[in-house]
Amino acid sequence: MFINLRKIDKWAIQAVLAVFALIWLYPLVQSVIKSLGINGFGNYLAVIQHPKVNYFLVVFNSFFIAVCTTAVVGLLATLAAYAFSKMQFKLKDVLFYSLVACLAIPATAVMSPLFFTAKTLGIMNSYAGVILPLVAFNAPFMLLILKNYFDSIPNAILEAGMIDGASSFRMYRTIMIPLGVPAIINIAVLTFIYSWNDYIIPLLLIRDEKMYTVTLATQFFTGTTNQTPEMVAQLYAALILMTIPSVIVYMFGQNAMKSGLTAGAVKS
Amino acid sequence: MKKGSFKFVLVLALSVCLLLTAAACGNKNAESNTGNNGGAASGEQETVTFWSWVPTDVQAEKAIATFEAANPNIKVDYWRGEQTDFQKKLQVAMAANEGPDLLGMQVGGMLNQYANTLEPIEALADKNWGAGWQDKFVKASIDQVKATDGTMVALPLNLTGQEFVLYNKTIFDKLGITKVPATYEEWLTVNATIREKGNGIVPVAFGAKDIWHDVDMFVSLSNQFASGKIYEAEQGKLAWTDQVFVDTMTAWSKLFTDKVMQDGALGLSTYPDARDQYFYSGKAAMFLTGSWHAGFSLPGGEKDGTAIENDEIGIFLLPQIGPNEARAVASVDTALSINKSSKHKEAAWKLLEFMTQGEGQQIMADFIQGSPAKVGVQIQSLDQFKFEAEREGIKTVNDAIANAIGKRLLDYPELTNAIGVAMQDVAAGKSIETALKDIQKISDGIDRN
Amino acid sequence: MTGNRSVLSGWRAYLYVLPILVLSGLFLYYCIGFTVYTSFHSWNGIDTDMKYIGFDNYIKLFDDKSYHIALRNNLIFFVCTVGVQAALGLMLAVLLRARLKGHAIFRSVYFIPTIMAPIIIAAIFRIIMDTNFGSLNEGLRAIGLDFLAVSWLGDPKYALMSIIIVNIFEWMGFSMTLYYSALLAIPDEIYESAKIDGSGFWRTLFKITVPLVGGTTSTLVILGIVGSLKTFDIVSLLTGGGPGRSTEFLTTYVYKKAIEEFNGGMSAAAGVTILVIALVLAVLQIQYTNRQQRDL
Repeated sequence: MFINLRKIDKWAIQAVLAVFALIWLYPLVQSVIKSLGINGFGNYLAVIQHPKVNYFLVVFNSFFIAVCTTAVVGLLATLAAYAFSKMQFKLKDVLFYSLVACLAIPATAVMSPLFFTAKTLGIMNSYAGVILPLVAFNAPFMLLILKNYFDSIPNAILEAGMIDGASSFRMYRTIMIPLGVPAIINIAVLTFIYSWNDYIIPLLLIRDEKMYTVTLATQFFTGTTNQTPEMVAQLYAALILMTIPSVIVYMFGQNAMKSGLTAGAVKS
Repeated sequence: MKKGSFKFVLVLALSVCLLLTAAACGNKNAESNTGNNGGAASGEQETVTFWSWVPTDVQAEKAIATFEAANPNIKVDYWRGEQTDFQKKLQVAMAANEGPDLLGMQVGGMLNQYANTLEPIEALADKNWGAGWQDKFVKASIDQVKATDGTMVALPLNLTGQEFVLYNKTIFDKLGITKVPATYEEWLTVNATIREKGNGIVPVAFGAKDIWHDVDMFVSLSNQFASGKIYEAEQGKLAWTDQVFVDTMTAWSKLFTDKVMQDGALGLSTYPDARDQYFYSGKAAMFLTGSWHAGFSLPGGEKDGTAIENDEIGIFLLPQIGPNEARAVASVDTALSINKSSKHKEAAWKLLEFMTQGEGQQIMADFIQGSPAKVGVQIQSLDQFKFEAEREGIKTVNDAIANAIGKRLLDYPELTNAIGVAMQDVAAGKSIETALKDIQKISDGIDRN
Repeated sequence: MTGNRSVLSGWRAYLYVLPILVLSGLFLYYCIGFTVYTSFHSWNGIDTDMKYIGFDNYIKLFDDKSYHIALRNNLIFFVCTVGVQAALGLMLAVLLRARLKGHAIFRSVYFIPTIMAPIIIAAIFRIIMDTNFGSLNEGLRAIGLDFLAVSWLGDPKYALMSIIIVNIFEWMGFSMTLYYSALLAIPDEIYESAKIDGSGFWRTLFKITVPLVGGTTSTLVILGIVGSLKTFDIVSLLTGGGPGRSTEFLTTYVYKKAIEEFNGGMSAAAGVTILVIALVLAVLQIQYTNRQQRDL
């Protein structure tokens, strides 16, 4: 909404942004300083070389789990959002609200049934054992965001497609997905971050240290008593290391968003 | 249109297959694990799973290596979690019958709730140790590992007591404080000196955010006003509005109005806040904690690398605030139980024996993670301390625990929470009368059968 | 919606919603069913011993002062966080939309807290907000505002506000990102014509921008409802629900009842109320949005 800005306006905008950035940076900088306590960058090295944590393995585990979750959630949520937004069927409202009802289940409130389900399915201590619950918890939420967005895509485009004889699935592929890119990227980034940061599901369902995620691995640096200052510094280092992959995913998402938006704009 | 739907179904089927394969893979792993565990035939290695919050990773590494060397047929799969994580994970796992073979247990509320799922210990002990084995354990500890119906379902690993004050002797010396306070007046005087000459040093750091710590304080303090009354009230035989609790709460409230507790204490946790931001940074001269903290200055322990690394640290018992002499309250800190549905009870017993009566007990004693539950264990790591006051401290703590006036942990968790909340409310200015009524209301609702 | 009639219909629609229903059904419906079932029983959460006690858990729950406090706190938290995060997020998104030098870096800085694990954010804020040595209070004292240097987390009067502040720090970047991507989709021509009409900054903001990002705002409101009902980590790490019960939330209540107090039944009853609240609010919100869109 800024057209032909004067120089002074530009300065004012930058100043406001910078003030907020400083406030937002302060705690971040503090955590970095904490992570450099006692041994400096040695803390990061100590995390990577920790005898009980194979750092690259835990990063791989988290990454694999987060990517699979994101892919499955993306598929399920786009399909369902398409149907709920653009199709007419008898049980539509009932089904939609029954999914919306699942939105606010806090994992801490359903730990036991979650565990029972995983046990019954025989997926404890496996990747699927973490991915499936993560999908289940995230999908309804992402469905809602996507449906809201899909609602804003004009039906006329689909009507034109129908006249051309396109199948419903073809319209999903060629119309809904490309036009939905900004929202899809948002939910993908969000799902990735949620799965990456999730602690309670792996805590409950993973036993084998080879399957540990980055969040679980931080428990080697905690300890209410007998927590040495070195462990404290390493904990911060581990937590910061843990953030980096998510930041990269976010940056990719932002870039994709830009190109996706331009592509979407051209098509519409 | 038909073609499109077909494609869609294909994608769906593929993704379901993918998920099921992933699931199956994981499942196979799990099964092969249990397969190994299950085959406990002679010569084959047996795995015992063990979950707890104590021993810590460092302690466990040493203890388990020793155990495995002595028992080549048994492999120990140990998982340590912070208390909060441990409680979550254990509860859901036990409910689904997927719990570990050997598990850490907190006496009081937790032990009572889990009792039905735990193996009765006495028969096993009789069989392996013969009659009279109870004498091998510190008397107080063996009474606390029984459930309300009298069944013993755990064995004690160690004991800890409350309420202790860790103090920085170097700071005391610098400010000319020569005697640790033994009464409330002396404590106030010491605090005044620190405030006056300490250049911004806070006299006492207390983590009042922790319910458990507040309740420790309450149990200790109330015993100074009328010993043992709190245990009557615990069992519903005395009202929480009784004078002894009014006195206790008044004394507690005075700790705040007299500024013994630092400003903002209610927002501070004992670990890590009060410990790291205050005591270890040299910004507080005293720090309220439990006996488990006495070993923190062992080389390689918590003290190394802190701002007070070269300071001499001592420990003393909470000064006398009420009419009765100050004495510690002590409980079994960590007890160990065998899961009733374990398939490896023999092996779990061996590990339990090792930790409570065998070499594991000595290893834990030397790390000074609490006082030994086994009678006659000598701590062999004492000469590693750099300072006399630190060696002294261990003796202070162990004597106090041996002379404890009563137990530290209460039987009903909702009661513990209610007391803690009431104390925080009082510290924040709520009337003592209302706060005690709040406790009474919760207490009335407890099913004590 | 531009047309009231959906373009597609028929049984194939069910194929599209089937996968999500199957997965959610497996986990969530079972979890909900289990929770509802448990809420009518007395259960310690550990053994197989469950006793049917009818509505007793609900009666006790609605009589519990801590539960009332939790409800109130959840409501305050929802209103404050959603409002401030949306306002701040929109403002920064609008400024960022000018796409001046460094805007990508600013965007990342605002967003990083959303990415970070709550445990590290809480740990840092516990240090920053410490009464005696925290940098927040030291800063306030340094500029002579001693009276503002309160006990942020240790005083029941301020603890909830402190949690809200930390939550805003954590999630403002998320609102900002959603608004930013919505703003990118608004063509510049609209603003150009507004400028030609002589419309000023505020007028343009409220007459053009705010209505055009309405969809995002309604998404954020729903996310806010869900988020506040699910908020657990940041509360349990910052205050643990205290001092006293002053910052109890529904989730910390559920957690304490189940894990600390072994009262699985009452915990489940509280869990059921969370679900009901979420459903009611979400339905209201969706219908409100639909009506608005019809009116447009």
